[in-house]
Amino acid sequence: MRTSQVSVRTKNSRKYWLAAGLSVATLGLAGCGNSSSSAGNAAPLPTSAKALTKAQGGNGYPASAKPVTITINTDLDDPIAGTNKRVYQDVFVPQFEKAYPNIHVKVIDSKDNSADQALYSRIIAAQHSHAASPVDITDSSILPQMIQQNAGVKITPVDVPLMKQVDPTLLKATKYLAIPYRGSSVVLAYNSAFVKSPPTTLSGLLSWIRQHPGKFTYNTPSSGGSGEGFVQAIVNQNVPASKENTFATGYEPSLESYWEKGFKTLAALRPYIYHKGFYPDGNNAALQLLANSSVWMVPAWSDGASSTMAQHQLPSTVKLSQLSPPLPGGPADLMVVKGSKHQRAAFTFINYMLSQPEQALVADYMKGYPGVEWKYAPAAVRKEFGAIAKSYAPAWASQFNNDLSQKWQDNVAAG
Amino acid sequence: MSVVTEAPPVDRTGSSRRTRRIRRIARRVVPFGAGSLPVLVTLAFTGFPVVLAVLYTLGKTGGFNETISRVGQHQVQARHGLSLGAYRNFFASHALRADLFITLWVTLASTAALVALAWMLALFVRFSGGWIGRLISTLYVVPMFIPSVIASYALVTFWEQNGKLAAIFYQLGIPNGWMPGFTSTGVVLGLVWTNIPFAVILLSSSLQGVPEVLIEAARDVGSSWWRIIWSVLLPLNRLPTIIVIVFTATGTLGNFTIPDIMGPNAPQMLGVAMTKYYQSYGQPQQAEVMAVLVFLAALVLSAFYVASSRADRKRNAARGSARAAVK
Repeated sequence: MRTSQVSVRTKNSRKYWLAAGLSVATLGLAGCGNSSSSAGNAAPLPTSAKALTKAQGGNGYPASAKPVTITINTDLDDPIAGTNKRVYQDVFVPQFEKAYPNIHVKVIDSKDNSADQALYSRIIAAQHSHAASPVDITDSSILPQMIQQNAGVKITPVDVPLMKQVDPTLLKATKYLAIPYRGSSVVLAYNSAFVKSPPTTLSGLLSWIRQHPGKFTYNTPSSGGSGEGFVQAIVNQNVPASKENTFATGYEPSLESYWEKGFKTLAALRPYIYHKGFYPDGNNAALQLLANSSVWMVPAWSDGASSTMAQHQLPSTVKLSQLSPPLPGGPADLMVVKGSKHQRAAFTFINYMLSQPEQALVADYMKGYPGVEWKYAPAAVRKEFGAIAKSYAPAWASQFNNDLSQKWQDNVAAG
Repeated sequence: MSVVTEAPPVDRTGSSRRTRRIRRIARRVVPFGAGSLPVLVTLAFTGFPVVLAVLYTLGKTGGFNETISRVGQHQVQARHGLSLGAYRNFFASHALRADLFITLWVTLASTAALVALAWMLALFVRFSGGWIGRLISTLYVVPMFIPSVIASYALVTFWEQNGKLAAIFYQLGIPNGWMPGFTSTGVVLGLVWTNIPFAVILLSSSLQGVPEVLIEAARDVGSSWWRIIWSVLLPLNRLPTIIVIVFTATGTLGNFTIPDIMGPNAPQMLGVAMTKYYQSYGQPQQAEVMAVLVFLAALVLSAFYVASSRADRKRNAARGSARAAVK
């Protein structure tokens, strides 16, 4: 009973948004790139799967090969509010299986963090004993740890031809072990009824908070990525530019000494936070405070806030804006797990997730940014995201995020 | 065992004596074996992991602890022997010391409040007839049928800054009244609320067992109600009260749901802190240090329980023999 609550509080924010309810409103997505039909309906492929693979010169799973079942674990297969459709089981996978009838995809739902961690331990144990991996592909909160452990198969353009369309910095951050298929970033959600001109820089935001006591808050960094993103942005201010990339690619605890000044700023900000320092538990809890006008501004995930707005769960006066430089964001990656017996079929799936039909579904159902670079995204998707369609910084290594959460707890909450 | 090593007897009487002896031993061993099965299962699936966890907190990161230590951050590894480093780190952190303090404080406060309230309710149910008594005896079991997750969400929603309670305060002209939502006092109230059914059921059923004659006799010699409670009811209900204290205090020490949902950002009770350290901060060793500390505190409580129930049994036995002597 309790565990389902725990899942809502994990540091990995994506599943949280699905619990909050994804929009299925097909927001003016009339066309999707090359394909002329609506994205919500199963769009006919621009070309046949075979031709697609051939044209990209890839190593895709041949249509003549014997049928195979691949297993993917994901923490975001909760039903989408309103339709009861599950993103993987009912949206992504059927589209894929239509294109590749000889690959069956079995979806394992890692419902909560502890189930996810248990699976992670099994994967690592299987790799150490050279046994078959329990899953072929993973898309869940364990990814940062998997990357750290080198538990994925290196991705090459031969296996995943569409890799060429993905931002190389994001690939480098995963050590080429995982590939982003969608993304989102932290943005500012504000109520324009009270805020006429939102701040455009981080220092502008800080002085806005001090000028409007009690009208801003952010969720605890361990409970969701939007608060975490805000905290990251603050502590990152004092990190030398040359070291910034290390946070995405490695783990050097000594770099955390650069955070100290940022934590002092955050601790000093506490009296100006809603209710003299009340930090809600989770991305959605922060949006609820915005919804009932307790606060005027919160950091929020672009995808989460967009879908909440599409469902009219926020006042119509709520708007999104991005700071310059942008608040951190994060891609959601797919990884083929080392020890998988069906690597070729698994890579075929990953490549297909980057294709235009699936990318349109990502935008449509998840309000996610495309995994491919903006210029390769379907035109309608580019248009929809308009003002916030900017690149985002790669996610930090999990150990840094863990330490960030703990240090925030020690220095800001308990400080 | 000794049977097997014995020289085989030759005559028939010897043989039958042997079978009898085997049977006698079997009669003794078989029930023990059957009884020991659950013990063995417990040892294998609970005892063994507990030993591993304790060793892990003492810096033993190899062997069976290798998998967990592979994913842990900021671990203390004992180069040789055992290390108390992880415990030193716990007590070095001011935030964790505050967490430990608030855990003990909440446990103490909620147990004391619960016992006082449960006694009052149990006395009321025992001695007040009529519809109010019946109503109370129905109402106090209600929290038992509401899952604590739902109850704590409901309570904290009622108590939070935008909740009904705030609205009532506002109407009364107290715009910034104190709210128990997201405070440790709120956690105490929530714990009392959820533990009331168990405590009152236990106390009131044992109060029902106090013979009316004893109370009548005390009243006849002019004792006040307070005196009757103190000198008659309390001594006769010592053990149930101790059971209530020990069981609720033990449950509170490691409680997660209520403090997690209703508690403040900081300080957190250890149940919440250890979950955070395990799941969000990637520090399983530090989480297990907290688990060991909670376990030690619970151990003190259970020692208290065992000692007092033994004393109670001894006293009853003494009373019984005294009665027999009088006869």
